[in-house]
Amino acid sequence: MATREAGKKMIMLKSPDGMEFEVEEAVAMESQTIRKMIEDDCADTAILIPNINSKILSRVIEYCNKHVPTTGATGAAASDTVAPAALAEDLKIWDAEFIKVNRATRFDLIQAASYLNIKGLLDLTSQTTIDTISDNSLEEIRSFLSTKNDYLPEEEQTIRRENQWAFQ
Amino acid sequence: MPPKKRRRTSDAAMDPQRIVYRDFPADVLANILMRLPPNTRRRLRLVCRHWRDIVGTRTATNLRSRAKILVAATGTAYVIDNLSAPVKPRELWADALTEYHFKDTSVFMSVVGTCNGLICLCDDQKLGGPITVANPVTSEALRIPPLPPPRPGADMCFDRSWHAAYSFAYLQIQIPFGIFNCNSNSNILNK
Repeated sequence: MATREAGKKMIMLKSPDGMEFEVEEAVAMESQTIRKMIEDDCADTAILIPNINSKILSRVIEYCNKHVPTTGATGAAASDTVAPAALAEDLKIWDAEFIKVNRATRFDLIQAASYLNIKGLLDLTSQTTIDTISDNSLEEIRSFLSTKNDYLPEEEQTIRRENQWAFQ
Repeated sequence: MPPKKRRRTSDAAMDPQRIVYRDFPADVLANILMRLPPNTRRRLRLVCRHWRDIVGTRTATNLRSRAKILVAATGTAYVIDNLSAPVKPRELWADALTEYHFKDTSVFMSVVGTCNGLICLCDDQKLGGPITVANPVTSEALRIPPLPPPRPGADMCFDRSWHAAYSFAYLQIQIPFGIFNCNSNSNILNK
């Protein structure tokens, strides 16, 4: 890919803890939020990402870097050497590996994906959470979320009654 | 917008059980919950008030998403809770109407119609048989006061299909439409 060396436009992303990440514009534009900023000419050379720390931001960039060739403009170049199906399979394996993080990181990634509007990453992180939610009892979900059952017994009873048939 | 003070990820990584998700933005949580089937979502209202509120207000639980498939067959009807899972359809009569002693005669119960989650049934065993409105969700059933029996032979009404003489619909002007509103129900039912 000759164009990559031939001076691709680079974008600087800054995290609130002062780290700077230089990424290709195409990679940054995996985020619809950043894409909008660039398209609206709101982005100069550096974009401050206000609520995502450097650790999470670097992982997000890692994700975008991996995913940009299949969805971005360089897709054709990538598929010259690898069949698209094999490439998709490869990405799937990579995703599965990528999401093997602790819960805190995963939830930070969800929030980052949501803020930056990166659909693929949001799907990936949310789906993993859904699998956890679906397979666990209410008590397990609460402990997983460190939240408490804050219902009065009668309130809980009311909802249970409403749900009576939803359980079946 | 000033950056929000956040818990340090490294701290949380050391003690994953201490993660507090309540500061999870509502739209992010809503986005996750939206990916679940409506039934699961309704069940998850039990987690805590915050979740209940989000399910109630942010996940568009409209009538359509709550709708279930009702299959009416000769003499019976089934509700299919989840199309994507191989769960046995629930037979309505056995569940909702047992206490109304319809079980023995259930083969004669026919569906007049469904509306707003209510199902209207007619006992086709004999002319002018009882008409019942049942709510499959609450398992409540209400016997409608006897209606004038249909004329045999009229309007495609034959033996064992008396239910065809009636129809069941929602009348917009009846504001408190409910299972307890006998009069409005019988008005509606009285074709």
